[in-house]
This record gives sequence, structure tokens and C-alpha cells, in this order.
Amino acid sequence: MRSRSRHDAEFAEFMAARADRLFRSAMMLTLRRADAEDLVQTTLVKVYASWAKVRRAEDPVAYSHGILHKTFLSERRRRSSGEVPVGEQFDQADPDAGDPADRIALFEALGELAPLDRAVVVLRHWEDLSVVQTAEALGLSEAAVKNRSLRALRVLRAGLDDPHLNGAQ
Amino acid sequence: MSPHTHQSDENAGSLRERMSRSLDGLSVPGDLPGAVLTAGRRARRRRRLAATGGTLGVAALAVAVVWPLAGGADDPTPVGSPEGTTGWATSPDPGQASVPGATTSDPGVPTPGIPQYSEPAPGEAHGWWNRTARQMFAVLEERLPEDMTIEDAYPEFADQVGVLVVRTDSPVGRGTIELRLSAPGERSNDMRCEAYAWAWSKAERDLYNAECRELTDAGGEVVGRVISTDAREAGGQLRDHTVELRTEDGGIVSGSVANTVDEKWYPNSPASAELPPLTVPQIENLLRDPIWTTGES
Repeated sequence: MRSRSRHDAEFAEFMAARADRLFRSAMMLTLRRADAEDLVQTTLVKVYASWAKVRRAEDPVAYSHGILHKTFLSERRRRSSGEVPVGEQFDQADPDAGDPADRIALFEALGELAPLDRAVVVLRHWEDLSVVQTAEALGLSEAAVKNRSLRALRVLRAGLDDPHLNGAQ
Repeated sequence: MSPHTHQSDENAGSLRERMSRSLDGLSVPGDLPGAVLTAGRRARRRRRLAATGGTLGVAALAVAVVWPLAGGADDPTPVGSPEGTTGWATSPDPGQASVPGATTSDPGVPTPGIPQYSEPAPGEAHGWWNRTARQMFAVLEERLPEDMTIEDAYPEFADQVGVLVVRTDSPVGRGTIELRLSAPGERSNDMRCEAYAWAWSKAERDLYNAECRELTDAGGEVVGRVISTDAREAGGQLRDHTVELRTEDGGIVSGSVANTVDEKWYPNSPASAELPPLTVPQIENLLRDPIWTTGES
């Protein structure tokens, strides 16, 4: 009983600290609030169920983000449904969060990417993972990560009209 | 050598800033944590049952095979151990704190008074934490070093309760001070560095070069912690200190200072001074002032 209470308290602390960050990653992966909520919930349930293992990991945060990405890509493989056009995606977005115009532009640009390329961009440029770490997380070679990242940034540069995004890997 | 290329990579930095700007403030729905806990417990039960059922199935099969060889039901050979099915039990991890410089308390001892996340925060109840930024400002101003002035306070917090953010100037340079008063149950008051470490990824800890030190009372119980970051090793400029103290009733009084006047504190936030505006002992003294928890201001 005491163990379960401790388990829950520890996990709750972790969830309180990380849920929003996971959610923002999920938003960039799924591009739709409802899907992002589902993805985060599924991820956190998995983390909860494996908390004894997660808490012993060298980097529990990275571990949970790894679960998020694997779940996203696995869901993508299972689902046959395509993505919803960006215009339909933000009707429920929180108007107080971030800059809505920026967000729409960013999500439109991200929507041009294949899901795996999007995952590469999120891991490399949002979660600050190195090429090696990104390759490990997604089961890709380092060369594949670099290629996908270059390609994705070219697309984003065009979509965001941002000349600074000129080829970082 | 840092694995974090965005420090030196203008392109990646630009994209990251764009992402931050777009997503800042986006939060999970308020009911998600409760839903996760409910679904998580269900999932854990299912997995336990599946594991137990699976092992029992194997055991039953093995017994059926073994019995004839062993001479009957009076001499069943034990097969399979139920201990093998208890992988989900959460025995305390005797591991070490994963934050550099952290001291560890015994993680095997349950920390009393850790609130459940799903407990409603008593934000509406009256208490010492119910102090507006304006009231906190008056208290803080009286207690700052004589050579320090408050340049301005963040207006968006003026009428909020329990949070104050001010920009300061002193011979040390310009900087920012943030104070927070948290009601019992509003946040987890587990002050162990281990609990703090879970909130940061290793990449973030490396990036900020964060260190955590636990503060204990006379009985050795962890009642607070000091978290300091210094991003200079990773090419940044940010240096900050945060002190968090658990109050007797389970609330938290915390203070953070940084050597930047930027609204958000990132490793590469431009430094407005070499050092944060207050030292750790100064923050501790400020927070230990009983005025914060007596409700008198």
C-alpha cells in the first residue's frame, strides 16, 4: 500500500513536470489537439504502468519522450486515416497559448513533412537530441537522420519563409 | 564538447525559437492527469493479471507433465515461482541522485506528506499563500539589500496570488527575482533532488549545467533544496539559483534569481550581469523570514 502510494506520488510529480512538454511535442507530431491529447495520455499510461522501470532509467524524461515518439509512429502505421487539413485543426486550440498566427504557420509547414521527418525535426530541434540520439530513438541510421533533417528544414524554410533555416542537420 | 547543437547552430536556434513562440503556454487539459492515473492503474492491473495468468498456465502445463513422472499428486514438483510475476511491484530504488552534485537522502524511506497530484489544490482557502503580487512586492522591497532597487514588476502578475516577478538593479548588475508561495497540496512538496531530477531530461540538465543540493532539518529530513544552473560551460550565459522550502503545513515558499532580465530563462538568454542578483544564502534568508507564512504583511 505504501509502495503504491509512493509509486503514484512519484509518477504524479513526474507527470506534473513533464505533461505540458510532452503535449507540445505531441502537438507538433500529430498537428491536431485531440490526437495530441490521446497520444500524451497513451504515453503517460505506458509510463505509469512501467514506472518502476522508467524511474530507474538513466534519463526518465528521455525515456518517456521515446515512448511518445514510438507510440506516434506506431499509431501512424496502424491508422489508415490521413491527416486533417490544417485549417480544420486549430478550431479548438487554446487562444491564450503562444502566437496563433505563428502556430498556424508552423503547423502548416510541419504538415508538409512525412511523419517520420516530423519526428526527426521534433527530436533534433525541439527536444535537443543529437543526431546519434535521434537515430537511436527512431531506429534510423545517423546518415538517414541527417538526410531527413536537411530535407525537412528545406521544406520548413519554404513554408515558414525563414531564410535562417538553411540546412541545419 | 556538447551534444546540443542548437547553442552553436543559428538555424536550429531559429526553428526552436519559432516552436517556442508558437507553443508557449499550451497545456494539457486539466482532467488529463486524473484520466492517466485511472487508466494507468487499470493497465497495470491488466498486465499483472496477464503475467500471473501466463505463469499459472505454464505452471499448470508443467505440473500436468511432471505428475506422472513424479508419482502423483502427493508429490507435485514445484514449478514456476509466483515471485516471477511480481515485476510491477515498486520497490524503492537504491540508486543515486542523478543530478550532478546532489546529495541523497535514503530513497527507501517513503517521504511523508507527498500530495497526490489529483488532490484539489486549496487555492480558494484562506492562508498565508493568498497574497497578491502587490502585497508580496511590499514585503520583498523592505528586505532587499540596501544597494538594490526594483526597476519594475511584471504587470501580468500584479493581481495574481502567490507569484511575484521583479527586475532589479544593484552593483552586481541587473537581474530578475521571482517569488512563489504555494498552498499545501498545490505542488508536490517532495524536496528530494531525485524528485527534481525527474522533471528535467539529462539533455536539459547538461544544457543548464544544473546542480541540486538538499536542505535538511535538524532531524535529517529533507525540507528544501537549492538548484543552481550555470550554462556557460555549454556556451550559454544564464546563471540562476532557485531555493525551495517546504513549510510546516506542507506548502512551499520558493525564490529564483537570474542574471538576465529576459522574461524567459533559457541557457542562451542574454546576461545582464555576471552573477544573479542574490546569493543562495541571501535567498534562503529571505524565504525563511516568517512573514511569508504568518499572513502578516
